Amino acid sequence: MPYGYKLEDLLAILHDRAPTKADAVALDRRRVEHGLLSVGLKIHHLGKGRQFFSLVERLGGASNVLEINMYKHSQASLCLVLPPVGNARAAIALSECIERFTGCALFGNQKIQIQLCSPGRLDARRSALLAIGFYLGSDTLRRYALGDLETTVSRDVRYRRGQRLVIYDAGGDFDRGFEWWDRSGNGKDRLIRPQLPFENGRSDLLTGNGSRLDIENINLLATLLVHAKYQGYWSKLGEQFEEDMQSLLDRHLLAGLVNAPWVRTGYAERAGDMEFFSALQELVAYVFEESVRVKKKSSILFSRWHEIPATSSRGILHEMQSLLQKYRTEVVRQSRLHDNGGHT
Amino acid sequence: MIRAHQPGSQPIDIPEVIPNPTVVPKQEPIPKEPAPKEPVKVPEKVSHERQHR
Repeated sequence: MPYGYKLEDLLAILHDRAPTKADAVALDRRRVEHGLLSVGLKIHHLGKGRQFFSLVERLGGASNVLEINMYKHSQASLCLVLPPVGNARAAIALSECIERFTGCALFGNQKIQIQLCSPGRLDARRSALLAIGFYLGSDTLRRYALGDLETTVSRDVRYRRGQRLVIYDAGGDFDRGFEWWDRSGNGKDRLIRPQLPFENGRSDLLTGNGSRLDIENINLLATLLVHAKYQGYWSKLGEQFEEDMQSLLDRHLLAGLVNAPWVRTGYAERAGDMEFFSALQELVAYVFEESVRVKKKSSILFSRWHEIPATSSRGILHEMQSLLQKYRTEVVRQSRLHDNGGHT
Repeated sequence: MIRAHQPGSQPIDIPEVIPNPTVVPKQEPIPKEPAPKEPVKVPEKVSHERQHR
């Protein structure tokens, strides 16, 4: 990811207005928590971005920081690429330092689009699960227009990333310097490798106006899916998650959605933007209807709760929250077990 | 807002973004940055004369 400056330089600047948080990020920047993946962020500003000018200037000016990167959201005036950090908490803290310095809210702001970058390129099916899992688990349910996902590389002859929620990196710089949890030969012990097992490659997700929860959720989902693909320490848990997601989609008659092209994987394939967008629209329509049902259900919950049949589905949104909770708890539990000398 | 129009009917407003009703909002952590330093209070000068009274 081209950013043209060092994280240390950014933190030194942010320290002026957010000293405690900037110090905490500096301490935690390489720390991998529970074997989850490192996190990179790109901040696309859809307004004029004036609040960012002084930060960009102090980082070395637009030519050094912004213009070395031709990639951005098609409606963005600027895209600030942040160096990756070892965990989601540090990524959130870094964003909060930037909020404090610029005075511009980064979370839940219509003018800001957050792109979350995870190391490792997921295949088409896993990219679909990442995007669907993110959408269902988010604290905000969004409707999209296809143009919302247009970037400067959507039609670029060299990259042709299309209009998707998940897009691959464009090659170039890649920071491998984060721990990767692996399994030893006997398959039981945890082996912590000092760097990521791939030389480059990322799967990025355009969250839109994202939240702190989105960053935590995507980090968990991407970890499970990337470990399943690259046979990392969490591969078994990742495969189990894939099965659970598939069952969840099956129960709601949405299993066919994963066959749509949620990411553009090859250069030669046909664009498929509309095919992807139809699948996304189907998911959005289902979820918006579901949200009305959940609201109605909660309003009658206290007066007529006994009339709700015990076998009725709790709904796709509740089920996704349960899945995220289950896997988050399991990752923490298993990693602590190892820290205490046990096996999983 | 997206406006869905149909001839002869009232236009309806469809929100583009709604909160997920199954997510319990997290309490935002209280900012931990140190509060700005208060100005140092300089003790008032007490005259010798008053001290001896």
